[in-house]
Amino acid sequence: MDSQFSSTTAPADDLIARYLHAIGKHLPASRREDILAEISANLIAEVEDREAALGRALNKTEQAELLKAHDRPFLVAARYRPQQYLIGPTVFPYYWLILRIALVVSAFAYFLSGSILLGVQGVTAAKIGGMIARFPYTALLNATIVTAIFAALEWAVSRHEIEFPERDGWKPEALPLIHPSSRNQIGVLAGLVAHLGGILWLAVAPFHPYLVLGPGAGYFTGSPVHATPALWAIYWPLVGLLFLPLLIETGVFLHSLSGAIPSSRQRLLMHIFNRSATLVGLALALRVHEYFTVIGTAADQAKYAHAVEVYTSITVISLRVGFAICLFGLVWTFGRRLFKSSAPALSFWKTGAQL
Amino acid sequence: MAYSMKVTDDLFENLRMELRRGCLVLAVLSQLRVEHYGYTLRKALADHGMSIDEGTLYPLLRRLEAQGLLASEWREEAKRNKRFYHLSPEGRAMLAHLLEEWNTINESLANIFAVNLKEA
Repeated sequence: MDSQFSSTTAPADDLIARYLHAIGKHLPASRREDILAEISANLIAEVEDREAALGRALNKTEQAELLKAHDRPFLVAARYRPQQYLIGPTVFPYYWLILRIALVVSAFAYFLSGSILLGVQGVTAAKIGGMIARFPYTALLNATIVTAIFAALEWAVSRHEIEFPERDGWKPEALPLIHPSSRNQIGVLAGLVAHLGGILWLAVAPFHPYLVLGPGAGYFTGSPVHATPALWAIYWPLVGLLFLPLLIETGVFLHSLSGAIPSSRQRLLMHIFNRSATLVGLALALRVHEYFTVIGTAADQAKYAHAVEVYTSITVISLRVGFAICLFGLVWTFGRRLFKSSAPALSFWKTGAQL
Repeated sequence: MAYSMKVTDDLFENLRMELRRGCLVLAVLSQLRVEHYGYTLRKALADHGMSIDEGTLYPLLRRLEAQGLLASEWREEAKRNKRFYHLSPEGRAMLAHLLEEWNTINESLANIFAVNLKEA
């Protein structure tokens, strides 16, 4: 099936031969000769038609115009491939859903493991900055892996004409219920980010007092006043305790990605758990008898005794106020819930009064 | 104003191509009740008002052949080798089904248009 414009027989500068040669470079090897022979035959027929209409051979410009209408060689070749998408419209919705979940889970795992490592190796601003700076690379790597997996799935589905997904593979009865008052996903995510930020702040603050005291932290430089071992013994477990509500909120957020909105009962339980964990932490902190101590000479002890009393008072008052606010919030939540559940009874009595 | 007109023209062009794409297979199968090779098929369809570019038509012919709806053979005509396509027996049966479906769709659309015209 040698064509007039075969790249092996035509002059090297022949435009149509060059066009066919360029297409051939992008065709699958097993079908290259066959496809090129057909394209060549159709192209020749078109050229001969034009030449018959003009009554003469086409010049180079006219040949170029004809070829331009046929499109770029690699695009022409691409249309002969069975798979036209990296991830096609059938598989793409699943890919997009899994990608988002994978990125959230990997972000959570990355920062959790990074925080634990920082806690073990020691926290510095540079290390935190490094951890945050390396995250985009981790996220990109995870996205690449998910994309490669779904591109392979697309290849398998299109090559083997698999029906994906199975048409009857889901149950409408399993759809989550709709609840009237539901938090949106952005709100939940914002809460997660704030919670994680709070934990990171608590982890870093002891080593960088300016995060708590601002410019006033300068007064503590070189001061003999330090936190007692009793306070350190309870501080890190309390920070760790804060991960439990974070884990639950993350689970709720991931579940909400599939469209499931937490019920009001579930949100109430989450709220109670969070408040209770905070109350337990604050109660444990209040049981510490000594928060600060002076490490130095007897003169330092005498000089800074009053400062220790002041710091201790501020700490105890802060803890008690925090405890009271948290307890009040818990009682308020219970009270509102109780009021709402009795609201239908109240409206009945109102209607009765009007009659 | 010019921008919104261009957007409307572009949108119309996209929707028009989508509509034509949906009819392409039926048009090709129908035309191949008579044997053609790629270029003459394109000309025949264009003569009937169904212009298709080569980049769409020629790969489509191969796909339909791979699906068993067309058969092809290389033959010499006017001193040149050309690949001629025609309907296979499965292709004829499929064409009959598709024509039936096309007539059903046409009737449905005619009813929808009639109802909408009345309401308008």
